Amino acid sequence: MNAINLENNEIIQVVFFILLAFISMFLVLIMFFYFSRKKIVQIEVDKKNLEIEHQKELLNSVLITQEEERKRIAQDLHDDISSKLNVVSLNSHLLKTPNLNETEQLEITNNIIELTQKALENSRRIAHDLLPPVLEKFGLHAGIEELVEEFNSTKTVKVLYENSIDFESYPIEKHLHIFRILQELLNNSLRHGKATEVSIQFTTFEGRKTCTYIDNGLGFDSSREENQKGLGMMNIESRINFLGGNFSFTSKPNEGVKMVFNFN
Amino acid sequence: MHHFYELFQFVILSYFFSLLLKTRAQLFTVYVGLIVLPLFLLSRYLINPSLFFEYNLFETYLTTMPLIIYSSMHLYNNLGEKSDFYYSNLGLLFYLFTSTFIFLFYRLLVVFEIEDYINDLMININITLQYIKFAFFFYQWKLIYFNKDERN
Ligand SMILES: Nc1ncnc2c1ncn2[C@@H]1O[C@H](COP(=O)(O)OP(=O)(O)OP(=O)(O)O)[C@@H](O)[C@H]1O
Ligand SMILES: [Mg+2]
Repeated sequence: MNAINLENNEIIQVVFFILLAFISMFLVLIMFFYFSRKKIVQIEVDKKNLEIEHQKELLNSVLITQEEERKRIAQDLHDDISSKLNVVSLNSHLLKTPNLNETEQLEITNNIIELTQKALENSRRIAHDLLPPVLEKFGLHAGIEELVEEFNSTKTVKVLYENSIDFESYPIEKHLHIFRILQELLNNSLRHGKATEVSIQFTTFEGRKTCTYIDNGLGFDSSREENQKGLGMMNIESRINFLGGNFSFTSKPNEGVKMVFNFN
Repeated sequence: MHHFYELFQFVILSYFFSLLLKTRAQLFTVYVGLIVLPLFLLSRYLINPSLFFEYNLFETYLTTMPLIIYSSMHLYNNLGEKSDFYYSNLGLLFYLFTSTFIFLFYRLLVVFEIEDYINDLMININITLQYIKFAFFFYQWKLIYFNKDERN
């Protein structure tokens, strides 16, 4: 009788512990899932916030660039055109003074002609800077060729340009974005990288138009956050966003810069 | 012997997790467990030495359950990021889960006095589980050894 009781007791004990183990492991599981879900949601939210933050930064940089561009144009207009027109106006007034002899008159008119020509030239330059006319007339390919030619003519850098994409059917408003991206990349390569060789290549990769840009300059540590905050790079990014493309930018000190981006 | 094995495993693994876990609450739990549990078990044997000579499910439960909790905590800590000793932890968790049930099941068979038929099977299962655990450990070791700066 006693022995049976003892055995029963033991069975009950074992069953009890099996149940206890089941229940507590189940609880651990439930808790784990509960907290994990919470954490994952939190991580998602953080990610989204970061994205929004980034978008804001891009927008901000667009605004800042716009302001800087305005400032630059204002300066150009002020220094190169207004000042010259000012002198032209002064000279024209001089013409009105009585008792001018021939030579004086000739001198003044020559002055005026020279200055107006300079002003004209400057205004042309400013306009071309704002919107390169080749782009409108002959398209992106010719525009890039001219840009490359400009850089090559400085003799400090050798730019190689290859293109296997036909830009004829590509919407004309987008040409300018790609042109500006390349312009900024080239400027950076020259200014920061002191590059002597640059290669620009347009190909179709996996059905998307892709541009590969490589320079052989000093490079920099592109994985460091603070190195990616320049206005130039931000603008490149927002232009690529606008074109509906993706990009990857890699650079290491002394290994130059490589940028690949695609667009629609 | 069995008692020592469990206690030993508990202390070693608690120490291991005390190195891995990060938040203060978690560390506090580990340290308290590390001090209170061995003291509690020891005092039990001091008060009633005869307990020492029999299997004790309560003890098994107390020494494995916290480890399962720590292991889950570690999994939780590293959700969505790279985790130190991820695979070891998985292997350990797997082993703790399964071996506890195997052990409990075995005790059930013992009290029903049918363990003789199944004894070998149980031992084999346990050995297999150990192998699986070590496979996880080995994989982890491989990752760490071949990829020193990029732990997984
Ligand atoms: N080709 C390159 N070679 C070396 N460093 C580069 C290169 N391109 C960019 N960098 C580095 O990245 C930083 C950010 O470039 P970014 O074009 O955004 O700004 P910036 O050129 O300094 O200023 P901004 O373009 O607005 O006039 C640069 O300051 C430079 O240190
Ligand atoms: Mg720049």
